[in-house]
Amino acid sequence: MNSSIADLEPLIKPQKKPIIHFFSHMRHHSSGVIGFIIIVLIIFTAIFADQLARKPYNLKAPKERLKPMWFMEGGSTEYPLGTDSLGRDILSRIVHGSRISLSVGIASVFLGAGIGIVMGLLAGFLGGKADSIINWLMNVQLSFPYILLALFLMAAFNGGLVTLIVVLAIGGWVRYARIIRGQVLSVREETYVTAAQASGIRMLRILTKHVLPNAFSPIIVVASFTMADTILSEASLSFLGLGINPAIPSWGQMLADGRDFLQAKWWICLLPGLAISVTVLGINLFGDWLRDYLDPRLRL
Amino acid sequence: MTTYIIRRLLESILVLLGAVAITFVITRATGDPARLMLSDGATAEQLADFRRDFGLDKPIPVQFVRYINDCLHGDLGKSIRHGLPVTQLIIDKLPNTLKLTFAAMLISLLLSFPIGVFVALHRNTFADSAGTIFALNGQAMPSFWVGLMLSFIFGVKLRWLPISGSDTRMHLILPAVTLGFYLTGRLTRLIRSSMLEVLEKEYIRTARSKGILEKVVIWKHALRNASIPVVTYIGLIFADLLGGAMVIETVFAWPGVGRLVINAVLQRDFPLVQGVVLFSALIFVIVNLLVDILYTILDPRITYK
Repeated sequence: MNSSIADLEPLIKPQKKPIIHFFSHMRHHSSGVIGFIIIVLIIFTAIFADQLARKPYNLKAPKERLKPMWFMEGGSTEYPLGTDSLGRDILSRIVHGSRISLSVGIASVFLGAGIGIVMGLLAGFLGGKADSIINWLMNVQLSFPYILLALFLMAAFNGGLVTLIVVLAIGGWVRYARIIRGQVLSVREETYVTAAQASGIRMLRILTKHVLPNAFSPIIVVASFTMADTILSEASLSFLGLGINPAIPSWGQMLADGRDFLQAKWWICLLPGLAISVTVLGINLFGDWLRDYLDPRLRL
Repeated sequence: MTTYIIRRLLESILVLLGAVAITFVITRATGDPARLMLSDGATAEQLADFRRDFGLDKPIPVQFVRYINDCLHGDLGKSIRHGLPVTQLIIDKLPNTLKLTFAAMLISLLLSFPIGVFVALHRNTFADSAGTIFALNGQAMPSFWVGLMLSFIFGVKLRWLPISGSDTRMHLILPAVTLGFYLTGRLTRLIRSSMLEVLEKEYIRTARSKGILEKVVIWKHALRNASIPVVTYIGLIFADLLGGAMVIETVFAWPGVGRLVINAVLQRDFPLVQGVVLFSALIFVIVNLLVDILYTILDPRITYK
């Protein structure tokens, strides 16, 4: 008997390690590869911003204000992407802006996911009135433009980084709550859950063992798309003058600053906009591939 | 159907009540609304007058009931900065925002349907990749940036179109195209995936095997069914679209509710901000009710009981 199993062993295809499977699947999908490369580059830029930026992002050089890009007439390699209206190096500000976009995006996505998961679990498992109230809250939130709610909250609570992160998180929690609620409702009636409940296993254990692992894939995919939306929302709020402190280089803020000079110095607006677009495109491409990789049946 | 509409109306009232409650809670949660609504330099007397005028000296539950009562009577208070009734200010500007929103939606539908269907029919070809890249870019570019770049190209450089104001129909083109571009990316992808799904259905195979002309199969049988998720999606993102319009209005100095509310936020004119939040919630529930009714026209099998 033992010898026959030993004979079969070489025929059993060894399963790839998850990380190897992840990359080998990605290799065959160009959108995943491009998205992944863009994300890695942005993360690299954010981490090494101090080393990559050639000048301090807030260093004002009044004599060098509104300089064009290096290849244009009057441009120089000292300021490869030119300077803004206060004479600050645009390249340095774009490089540091990646830090703001990513850190604000990641923090608010985590917070939004946390709120959404808890609300979804409560709605799904408690049912009844709790479910109705949470559902009503979701419908109310979806009933008015998110940017309007965000503006309202930013103005009412006097802005600031923490307020911005909370406001952006509020924009995303509904998506997670809906997924988790749906997952709980489908699992709640399963025989194995009834059996687990009958055998005295605590609700919390059922939730963490059966509900959350099943909802993992859609949550990761939703988080990637929410991250892209959050970066766009942060840029919109900064552009409208209700983002974080204007001294901190945010891409949306840079765009707002460059707007007054659009006619003659168009590159001041063009470059931060490109940075936002490329980042969001990278995250969306990666998110698209991730959805196909984790669960092609997902319609998110 | 009538019962369903009545039920949906009741649900809509609950949603609107929620929107009222949220605006009420936000203004109260941040401390003294009088201090929030008046400037920092307001004297104690001015604050006291303001509290009395707005009933802020009454207990919170009384204030809430009074606030709802006022809302139900169409009285959303007076704008602090303009000194005019909020309802009147909004009603004056709302047509401009709706004009921009619907023009953008029209542009977007005219673009996304042909592109979405075309790329679905040419799956995994160069056209499919090009269409997908176009759609992804539409989703990735911040709409206010697209607006700025379009106004630079078509307004400043080529001088073809006006870049601010609303005097002529030409003024509508750039803001509507900008907002339409934002929506087109999303709709194109949705139409593509929806068409791909429908094209594999049995009834499409049956229609083809009966010898029905391919263009009839595509544009009548398939597209009609593929449109249902699109209609749902438009209903769902209508609030976002209205939000997008508000941002774009500031780029093109379009005199709509968006510019009004953004200035109100910057000037801390809270009665006006509250009013706009309530109005947009009202528009959202009406649009979604219309979407539900539109379903029954698109798919007669859908009945509401």
